[in-house]
Amino acid sequence: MAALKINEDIAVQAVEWYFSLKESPQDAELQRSWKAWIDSDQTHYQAWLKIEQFNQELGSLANPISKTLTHKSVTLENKNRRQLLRSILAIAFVGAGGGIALQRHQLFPVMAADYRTGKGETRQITLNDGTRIELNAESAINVSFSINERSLYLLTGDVLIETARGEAARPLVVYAAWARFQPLGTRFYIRSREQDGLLAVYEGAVNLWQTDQLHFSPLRIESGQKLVFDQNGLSELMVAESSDLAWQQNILVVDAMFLSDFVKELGYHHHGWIHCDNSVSQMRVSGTYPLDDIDRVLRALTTSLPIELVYRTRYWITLKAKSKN
Amino acid sequence: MSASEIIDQHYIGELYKDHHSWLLSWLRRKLDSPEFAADISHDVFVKLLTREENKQIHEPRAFLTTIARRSLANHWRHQQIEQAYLDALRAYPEPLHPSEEERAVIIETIVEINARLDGLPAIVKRAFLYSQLDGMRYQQIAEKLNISISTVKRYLTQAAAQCYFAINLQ
Repeated sequence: MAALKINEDIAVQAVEWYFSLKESPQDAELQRSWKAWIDSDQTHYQAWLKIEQFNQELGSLANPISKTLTHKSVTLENKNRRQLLRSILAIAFVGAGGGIALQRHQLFPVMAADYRTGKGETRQITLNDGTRIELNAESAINVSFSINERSLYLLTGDVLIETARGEAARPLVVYAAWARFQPLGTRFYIRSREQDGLLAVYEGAVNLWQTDQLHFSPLRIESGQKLVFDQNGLSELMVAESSDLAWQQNILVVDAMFLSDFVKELGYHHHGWIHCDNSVSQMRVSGTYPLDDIDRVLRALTTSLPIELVYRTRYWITLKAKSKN
Repeated sequence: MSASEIIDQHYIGELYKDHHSWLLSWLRRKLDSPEFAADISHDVFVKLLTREENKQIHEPRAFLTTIARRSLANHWRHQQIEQAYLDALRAYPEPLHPSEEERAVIIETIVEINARLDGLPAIVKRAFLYSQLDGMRYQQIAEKLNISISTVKRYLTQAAAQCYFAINLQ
């Protein structure tokens, strides 16, 4: 999903709201007008998420050692920094092996969300109100409970949510880049990734506001229904299938999916780069694939499609059309 | 995956074929360790793959060396902070040490905040950290830095615009 361009005026408004609320956290009137500001324009909402996202990363610095080091490193004069640099340089390159460690560090910028999963990892969490969430691989979620609202921010990935009962006074709201959701006593699955989003409801119902239509009345998605969101916008209502949740079992079920999308999906479960040549990206893939051995899935593809694998390194794999010989 | 993305990857593949070994030997001349040179050259292409858009590049070699330099600077900054962090940890008993993974997150975050605040006046950075790390109110920051509350607000806005939105208000 293309991020909206946030201009200087909106950025300044967002940070001013942020600091005002931080200064007066109990001011209900202020909160109401902030909410109105958020709802009045989708770029306001996007700007707010940007602040929220990085603040969650900063949360990892809450302990005293990290705080002290952050203060020191950030305010160090450049001159001293260069001196420090020189002395470290002398030792740093004596035995700088660890190629993969470096590669991993660069590949996956760490996002210190409240709960996150890495490649090929799933995770179940029970929040302190009793709400249960389950995260698919490469997912991150932030939790923020206040007196008025229980907010979940799905920063990226797939999450299955089972809401707790008996918290009617304090609604649960889920925020994702493409939409905002308010469940009505329920079990549902939300996906929010770079290329697409999805909502599937398995019990109860969920109200959905698309990010660019926050001030309209919500769309109500009932149990057994799902819809997807991609570059064409919101889809029609479809039937929510249990195969949409196959990721819980570390399985991917696809039906005539473009190879390029399929490969992207595999990437969430593989430590490296898999991509496909444009000559084969429009080929279609169907079937059920276990995700615990991605190399095996790739090999299986070469038997069902006229493609071959090119390993540039172990971690950089290209799918291309089979050469004719 | 969009069509432009596929072209990008194809294009990067071409860049790799044409210039990778040149870049590697350039890095080897600069760095003592051949393994490290290989890591950085690899890193450059990984960076290209993760970039949002790859416009046609007119001077590929100059472009690649610019990214390689940036990558080295990042790596050094990372090394420097990691070392300082490990030194600081020594003062604490082992059971209080964060796990390897937590440590990686912390160091990465410190590197990130350093990069995001880079170029701001020291006092502006300090105001921001007092607010965001230490949770100080306007009044406390004003006293700590001996400035007025309206100046605190101005500094916080300036630092936050750069930190969260990469917008320079000066």
